[in-house]
Amino acid sequence: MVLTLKNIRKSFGEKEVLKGFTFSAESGEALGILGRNGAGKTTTIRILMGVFPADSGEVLVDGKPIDYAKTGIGYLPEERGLYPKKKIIDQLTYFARLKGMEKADAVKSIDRWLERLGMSEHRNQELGTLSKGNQQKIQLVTALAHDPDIIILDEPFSGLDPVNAILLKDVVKEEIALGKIVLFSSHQMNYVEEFCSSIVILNGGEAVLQGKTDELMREHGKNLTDLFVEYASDRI
Amino acid sequence: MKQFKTILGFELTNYFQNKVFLGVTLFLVITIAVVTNLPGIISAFSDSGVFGEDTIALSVADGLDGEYYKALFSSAFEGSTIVITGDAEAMVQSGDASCGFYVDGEQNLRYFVPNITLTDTRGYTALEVMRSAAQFTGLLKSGVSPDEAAAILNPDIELETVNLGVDQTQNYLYTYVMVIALYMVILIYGQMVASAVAAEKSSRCMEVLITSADPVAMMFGKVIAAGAAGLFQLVAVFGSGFFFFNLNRGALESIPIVGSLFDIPLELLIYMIIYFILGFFIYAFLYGAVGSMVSKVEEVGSAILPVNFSFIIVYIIVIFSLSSGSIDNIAMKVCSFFPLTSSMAMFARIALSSVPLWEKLTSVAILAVSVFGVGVLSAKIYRAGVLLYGVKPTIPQIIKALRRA
Repeated sequence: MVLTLKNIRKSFGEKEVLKGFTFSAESGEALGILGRNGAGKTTTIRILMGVFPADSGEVLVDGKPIDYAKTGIGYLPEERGLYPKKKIIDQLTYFARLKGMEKADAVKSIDRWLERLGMSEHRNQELGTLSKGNQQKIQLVTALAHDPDIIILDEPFSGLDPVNAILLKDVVKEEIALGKIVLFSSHQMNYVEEFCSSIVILNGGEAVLQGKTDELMREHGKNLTDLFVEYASDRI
Repeated sequence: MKQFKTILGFELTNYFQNKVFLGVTLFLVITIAVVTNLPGIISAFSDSGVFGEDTIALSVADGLDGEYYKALFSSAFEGSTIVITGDAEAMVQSGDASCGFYVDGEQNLRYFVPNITLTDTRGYTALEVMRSAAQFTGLLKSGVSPDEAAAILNPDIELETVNLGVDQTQNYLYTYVMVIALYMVILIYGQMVASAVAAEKSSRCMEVLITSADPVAMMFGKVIAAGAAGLFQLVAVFGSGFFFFNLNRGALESIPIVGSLFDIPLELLIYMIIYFILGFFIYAFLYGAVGSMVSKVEEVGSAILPVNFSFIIVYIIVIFSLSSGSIDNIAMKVCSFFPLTSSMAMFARIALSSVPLWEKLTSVAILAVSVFGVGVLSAKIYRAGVLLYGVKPTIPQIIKALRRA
């Protein structure tokens, strides 16, 4: 599967946030979408997920306009939060069913993920009783339980302790190995370098640098942080 | 549709798992059970003498026939025991009688009472008794026979009423109950919808929801769940009221206001249900839209004030028109077609005057279309509003956001 965002333009009032942003990502690959705060990453993600339409441009899967009924998307937003007063299993089931899963399948998948993330014992607790890091792991289940084709992770490592960070790294690698498309947005360049075989740097509403991560670093003779500083900073 | 069902189920479960919601419903049902059983409970205690019987002391001046006045007062104060005493005032003062009378001649009466309450009419009742007695004796003295005197004083006149419209005395109660119930349900459940949306936004749960579900399904699911919960509470309250009323029918039927409450004509009941449901939904959608425009639950109170005010104004117009009796005034006629006001205004007119069928149907049709329109518009505001964080957006910002959505 190939996901392509082609020439996406989007303005909010007078401000043009995206000015013809184009990138593509393939199955079994993680693409790092990098940019400074306000560069338009969240707007891009929302257009990709169909929250609002682009002013112009296309979101394509294998060359055809995306069909959300057929292409599953899992999203871990940067701004985390679920229902603090609801039981974890109840709300995870709810979110999985909103994505179209049957109840029994949803519960089975959620239990598997809770087990994988070491959260099974908290299954029947209210979310608000968990630590921030554990709540984040629960939120990750909402992004993965319905077995999506495209996984969007926005700053997934912020707030995680080193043990949980390793656990999450393993999970992301497994998903990549399963042939998922992972879109990864982060300011922690070490993680980007570790996962993302490709990157795209978004600046001033358009892609200013994109390509294979290792090739770009080799060509420019710079590490990823230095590349980011060079390409992401000058236009804002 | 599948998403809508999932959302509806989830939101309904939220209500039915809410201990406050269940507690309030249970409290209301128990209160109704106690109130409807009150006559039975009181009579049970009365039989055992706990409350005692009402005693009225009666003294008469020398030369008057005490037994004659006792008989007169006994017939006027049915259920009370009239005790002849030498000093009625002393008996009232000692608490042995609830009140007392001293008949000082045929045209002089003194009334003793420990405290005059707002509802005390016994003085006037006694006055009427004395007046009738004086008229009766006067007629006897002028040579009229007792039978003729009785016929003069109580002439047999029949009144035949031909009602060409509705019976306001009968329907007045339903209208009041419906208007007040709708007012309360809209204010309570409307605010719950607004708070629930704002809470999702403030907990950032919205980020996941808006990317998982269609906003129209979200808005309709939430509002219909709130409506169903409100309706459940009303059915529980009025259903248990009806159940206990039937259990205690003998005791309660004699109280006219209670008897007529459960005797609502079918046609009126149908209009009541239609206007209640549609009236609730149009406001609940507005509350939901308002809830999506604030960032924190604390801001809901001030944000919903404009909706509350417009609603309270309608309520006041309807209640004033109900009290004035001129139910078909111009304001009410206008209000009965305007969708935000027709649920109360048109229902009141249907119940209390004769409204042509076309007016009823037009009003229901305008309201139904408006509910759907406001629902879709609210879903758009919701979609635009949930992504606006920070300061409360102004109307122009909302319109801009609507265009973007």
